[in-house]
Amino acid sequence: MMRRSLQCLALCASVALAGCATATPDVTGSGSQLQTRQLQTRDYDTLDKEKTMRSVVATLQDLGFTIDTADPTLGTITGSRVYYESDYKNFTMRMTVTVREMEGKRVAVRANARLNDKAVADPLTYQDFFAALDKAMFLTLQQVD
Amino acid sequence: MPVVGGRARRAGLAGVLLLCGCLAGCESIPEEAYRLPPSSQGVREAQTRTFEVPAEANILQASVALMQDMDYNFDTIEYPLGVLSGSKTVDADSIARNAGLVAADIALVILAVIGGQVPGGSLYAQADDEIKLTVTMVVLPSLENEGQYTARITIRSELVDKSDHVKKVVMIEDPVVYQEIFEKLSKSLFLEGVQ
Repeated sequence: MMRRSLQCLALCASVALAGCATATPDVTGSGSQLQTRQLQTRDYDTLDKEKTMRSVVATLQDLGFTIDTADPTLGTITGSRVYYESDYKNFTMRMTVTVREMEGKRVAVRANARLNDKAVADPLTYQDFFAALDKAMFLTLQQVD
Repeated sequence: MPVVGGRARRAGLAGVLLLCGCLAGCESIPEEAYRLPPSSQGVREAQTRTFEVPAEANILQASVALMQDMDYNFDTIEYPLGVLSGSKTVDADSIARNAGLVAADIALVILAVIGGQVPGGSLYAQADDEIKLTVTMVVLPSLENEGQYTARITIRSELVDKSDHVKKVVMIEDPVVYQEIFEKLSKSLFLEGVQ
């Protein structure tokens, strides 16, 4: 009886720990490359690259991010934010957004989000981000018109 | 037999607790983390001002000088995108003692915001705590009118204890703070000799 309980305890511990830790660090990322790109990318045909980058910076500011780096030539912007949930319970959020010119005056915006030490694969997170970007793009477009 | 049963129950309970503890360690992304707050449009307006100056260099130089006036050290400057980020750490305790010194007015507002969110309204900061303030300024030519430049400022305040643990994080949304900073930016333009 006692041995069975200890076995149960060991099983619980191994299952729980397996959920959090991996034997090797996540060097090459996880998941399908194609699926990841589809999840993280949205195409726009309303604004050029420069104005899209302005909108991305504004979106990150709207969401409470601090801009860490930005490069207009490569079209990359990285921001970070500490998300406060409750006292002493905070998350460090980091996001890199790239803006690329495509054929036919389109631009592709790709966002990579990380939460603490993990990549974010939740589709809702990217939907929320692109919804916020849509709004910023609209506001930028209004200024141009 | 009852003794073994009690041990078994305790071992089972320990297993459940261990599982709960470990699962609690696997954080998931907060639901509203990337969602715009309903107040975002009003906050954005308070954080933004348009200035009419002869050249982009004028507003950028005045903005750099303003950040220095407010005692911030630069962390990032991305010129073509007009991004200026700076930060400073202030002693939470000394702010109360040194009220009236440069930039303490802003920090006091921030401290009040932090204190106001604690049940009972008590001041949350402890004597050994520090407040890390991070300012991001984006200064770009206006898309609406030539010769005009828009400046948008956002400020994050983190209350950090002596062990470097973040106790609380607040995005400053009080329009009074931004009003004061934009007044200082106007003054900075004047001091730089920009008409």
